[in-house]
Amino acid sequence: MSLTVEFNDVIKVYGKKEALDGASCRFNPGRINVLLGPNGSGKTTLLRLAALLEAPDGGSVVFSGGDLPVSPGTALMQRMTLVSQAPVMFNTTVFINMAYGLHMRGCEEGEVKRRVRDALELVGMGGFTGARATSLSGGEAQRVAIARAYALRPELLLLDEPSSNLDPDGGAVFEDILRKMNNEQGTTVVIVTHNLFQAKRLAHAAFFMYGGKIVEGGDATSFFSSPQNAVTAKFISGEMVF
Amino acid sequence: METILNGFIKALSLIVSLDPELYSIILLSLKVSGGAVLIASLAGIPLGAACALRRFPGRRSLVLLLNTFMGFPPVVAGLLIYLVLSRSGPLGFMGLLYSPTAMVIAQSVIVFPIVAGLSWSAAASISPRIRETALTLGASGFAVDWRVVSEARMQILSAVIAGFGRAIAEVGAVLIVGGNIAGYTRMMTTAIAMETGKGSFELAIALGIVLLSVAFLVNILLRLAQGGFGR
Repeated sequence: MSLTVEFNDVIKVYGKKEALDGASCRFNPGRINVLLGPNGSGKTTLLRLAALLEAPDGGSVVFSGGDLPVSPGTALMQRMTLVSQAPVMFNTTVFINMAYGLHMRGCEEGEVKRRVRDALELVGMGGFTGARATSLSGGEAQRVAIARAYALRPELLLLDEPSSNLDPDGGAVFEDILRKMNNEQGTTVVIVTHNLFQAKRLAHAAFFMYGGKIVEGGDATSFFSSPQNAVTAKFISGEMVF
Repeated sequence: METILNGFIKALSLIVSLDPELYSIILLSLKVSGGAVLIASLAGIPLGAACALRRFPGRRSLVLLLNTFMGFPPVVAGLLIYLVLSRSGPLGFMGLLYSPTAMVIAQSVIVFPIVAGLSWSAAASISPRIRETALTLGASGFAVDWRVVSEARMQILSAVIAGFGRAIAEVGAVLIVGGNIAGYTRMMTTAIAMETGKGSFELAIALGIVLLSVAFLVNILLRLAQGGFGR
């Protein structure tokens, strides 16, 4: 089953800064949703709220599976995961990092080993199970983080610029994995990226954030070919310089 | 100079010949300080971690108190324990005064704030992103806290080793509550003080060498726990 997440007039304030100022959007189930926008527009905050790492100061974030609402809590958090731009690795082996979430979900040991091995091989890190995770390079850590998410088979996958440290080959592998998860497991994906080419390649739906709001969003084809909002159009055409 | 040299020679002969009195003192010292560190760690590590990871009323005051008591003067601790365990004290009926148990209690009181305070500092220094990563991987409650504490394990081990270093070198409290009874509560530090007072330097120097060796070993372990000698 895939998860749907819906933001209704969400407000999030840090000190005096309004990171989200009435953001509303719906990430439909089983779709790859791309979130675009300039730095500081609220994309990461939106993902953090979706990951239940923070609560909104106003409005609501609503989850549903099928047609049924899902309450926030550990059970919901075990149905999703978040991969950040600079993934954090625990100071232990790659295997234990990979297995951690599976153990939290009560997977039996044989299944854990199989999923970890398969996921690491998929990202070309098959020989790294015994390596110390904190000694990995930025690109290697990002591969492991993607593999860690893949092994969990989440219903909702939240990605914050997950391929920024990857070389072109790594980027292609990452995109393949994302499509595989979406096609085979029906995973709902929400991905923040600054790579417009990647966004166009992956997106089923696209959203543009500016000033803490979703200013435009919808089907990817029409979003990229004929944006309705002037700021979105400038961003997509590359005219928007920051 | 000759006295010192002779003292060293006789001290080394005591160590090499496995002198029973010397080794019974060493063994008791290790047992008392080891027991005290174990008790202090069992109580101090969870308390320090809880102060770093949980929000509860009085948390800041507790941390302030722990930090203050990290410098708790041993003789004052000894005096307090003496008053509690003495015949007229609240626990006097247990008859623990002038026993190794009393010395363990006294050293536990001294070491506890050190282990708890340094454990708090260790757990508080772990990046909040570790906690968030554990949450995004599906952990909750105690599992998240355990993950953070696991990340601080080397610093926490340093706290335990530092506590042991403090305990093994402590003299005031164990002298007050232990009484330095030969073959029963005589520790390395109290024996050194007494033998020096008597002008009998052989045993004092031998125990001094062992105490310094233990301090040296503790420092090596501390350095290894903090990341080794490579930096």
